[in-house]
Amino acid sequence: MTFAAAIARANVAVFRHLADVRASLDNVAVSGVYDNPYATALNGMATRQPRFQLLDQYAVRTVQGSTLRIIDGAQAGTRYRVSGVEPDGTGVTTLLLERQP
Amino acid sequence: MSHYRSTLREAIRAALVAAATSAGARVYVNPTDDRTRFPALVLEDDGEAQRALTMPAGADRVIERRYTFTVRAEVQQVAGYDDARDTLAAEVESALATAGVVSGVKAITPAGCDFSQDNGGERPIAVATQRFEALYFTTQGAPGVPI
Repeated sequence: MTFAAAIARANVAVFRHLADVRASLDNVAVSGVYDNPYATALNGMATRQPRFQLLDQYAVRTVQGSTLRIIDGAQAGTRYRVSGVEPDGTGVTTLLLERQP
Repeated sequence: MSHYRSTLREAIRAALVAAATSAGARVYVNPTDDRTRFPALVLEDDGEAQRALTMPAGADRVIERRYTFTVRAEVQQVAGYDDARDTLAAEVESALATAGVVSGVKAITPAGCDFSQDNGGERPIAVATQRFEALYFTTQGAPGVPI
């Protein structure tokens, strides 16, 4: 088994346990890890930095402007616009999210 | 004895609240806490140029003071953030242009504006930092009392 294949298998195994949020990404159901940490910007302006991590294979067609709607948990129903698509090179992609009204 | 700058800051804050800008009562003076609701206005000290106008030196000497401060118009919203920022900045300029808005101050004059934007959060953030200069005079011995 190649190292890349081993990493891919590991990612699948990890996400099987950690991907605890279901979402609709451009109307396709996906599972991933959702974070929404507190942050500050421009000298004391509070904000949040929501992001959604998923396996690369589920984000192949995702672009800036894609839509993501959280299905599970406290944020269920929250809609986001994807403002950034950041593959980390190891098989995991982080989507940077912008809240929609 | 409190310095007249304390009075001035409070009067500016009160004037901005009374102006019913889109920031409403969210007007903060030299804040240390994060702002969590927007739009908001932040009044901050910048500096004060001082110059003696009379001789000889002493407590009665007249001091010309040009206090500069900034008002940050802070907006965080999904769409139209730049226009909302400029609308709020315009409301601030208008509120402080009213003659006598701060007693003891001869004039409050816009002195420049900077803009910044951050797109790293859940909503775009836009800020206009408007500088003003407030001209007032005191004696050297009584910096808390404008003349």
